[in-house]
Amino acid sequence: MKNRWLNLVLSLTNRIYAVKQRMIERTGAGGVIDILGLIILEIVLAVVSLPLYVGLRAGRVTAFLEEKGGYGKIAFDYNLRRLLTLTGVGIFLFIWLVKLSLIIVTPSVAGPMRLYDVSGLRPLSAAVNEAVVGAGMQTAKLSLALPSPVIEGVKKTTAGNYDFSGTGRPFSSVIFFLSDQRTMIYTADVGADGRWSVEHNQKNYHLSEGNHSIIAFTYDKNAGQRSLVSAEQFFKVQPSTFEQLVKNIDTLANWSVTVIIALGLVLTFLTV
Amino acid sequence: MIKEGKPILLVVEDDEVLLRALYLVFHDSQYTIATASDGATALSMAERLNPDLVLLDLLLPKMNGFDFLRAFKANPKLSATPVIVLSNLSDNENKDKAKALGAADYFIKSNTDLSSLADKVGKILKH
Repeated sequence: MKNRWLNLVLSLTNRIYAVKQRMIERTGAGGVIDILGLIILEIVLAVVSLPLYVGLRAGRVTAFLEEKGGYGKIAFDYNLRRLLTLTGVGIFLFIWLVKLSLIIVTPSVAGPMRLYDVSGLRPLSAAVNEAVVGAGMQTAKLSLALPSPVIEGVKKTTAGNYDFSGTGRPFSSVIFFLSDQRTMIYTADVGADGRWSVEHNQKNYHLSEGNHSIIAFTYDKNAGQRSLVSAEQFFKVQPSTFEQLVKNIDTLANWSVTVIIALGLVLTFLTV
Repeated sequence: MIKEGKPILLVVEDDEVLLRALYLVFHDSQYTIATASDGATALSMAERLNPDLVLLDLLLPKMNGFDFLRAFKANPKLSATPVIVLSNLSDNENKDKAKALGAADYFIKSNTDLSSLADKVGKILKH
């Protein structure tokens, strides 16, 4: 393992040399690409060679010194750079450890964080529905004989939208309420098979992450009647993998650096 | 524990990371390692330490590897000491030049495995 690692260090220094040589002859965009490549290689080398700085004490290098008549320590001429490197690593380690501690400790101290505050709730009323279902809704009478629709499920479509579906009385209308920071109201026609569906387009209104409630009732425009509200259902909006990655990038960075430093320390112990 | 009589290996390399890596390659072996990162310091150390073998980079500050090799081999006290070149210069012209100046062997960094380099150093020092 040690030989592989040292050969990797050699290989990286060779690549850096090769890129530097190439840069001398290149101009324009090619030169810029080489500069970026060089920066990346230098960073990789800095990480891979970290144990060389952490584990190798300059004072351990000895030689037979004629004037002293014996073996003595020979100081490397890069003590200052070594000091700076170790100081830099130490500062980064300290910062990341503090951040990690806060991430780990804060939830247990402050309790679970609220996803969002819900305020200004108001009961659903005919007035709210007017824009969608027309003025007739206001005068619709509650009919116990009219069955409430059943919300059966929700599916996330490939386009990222939400498709709600359920059953109801054939040829009636279903008024569907979806809660977020504001309440969205949809109407759907129940087919002959007694099924209905509603699609919420995320482009029109992006549902926030977290739990949402949905309810519906049946509305018979011709009879001027409406049913009781269906049982309230809930569903959870979860971010995509990419959205989660972006959201948690800071946490991921913390853990990545911690793992890298831990790896460096392990390598140090293996090579000292 | 340092024991007198151990062969002294002088490593001359201006790349700090590589210098440390080379030190680690050889420090487990039965050698005493001395290091230098420029040609002039290396020559001064060589005159003082009389190393048993020199591992030499060619592209060095202050005094390049060829000049070091020339001065090193011109010193009667050091001329018999083998010098192994470890360089990025891969063309035959530089290789021939180094060998003409007295290099015992020539390793190109991009083609070198550090284990084989350690083996080569061991073989030369046994002779």
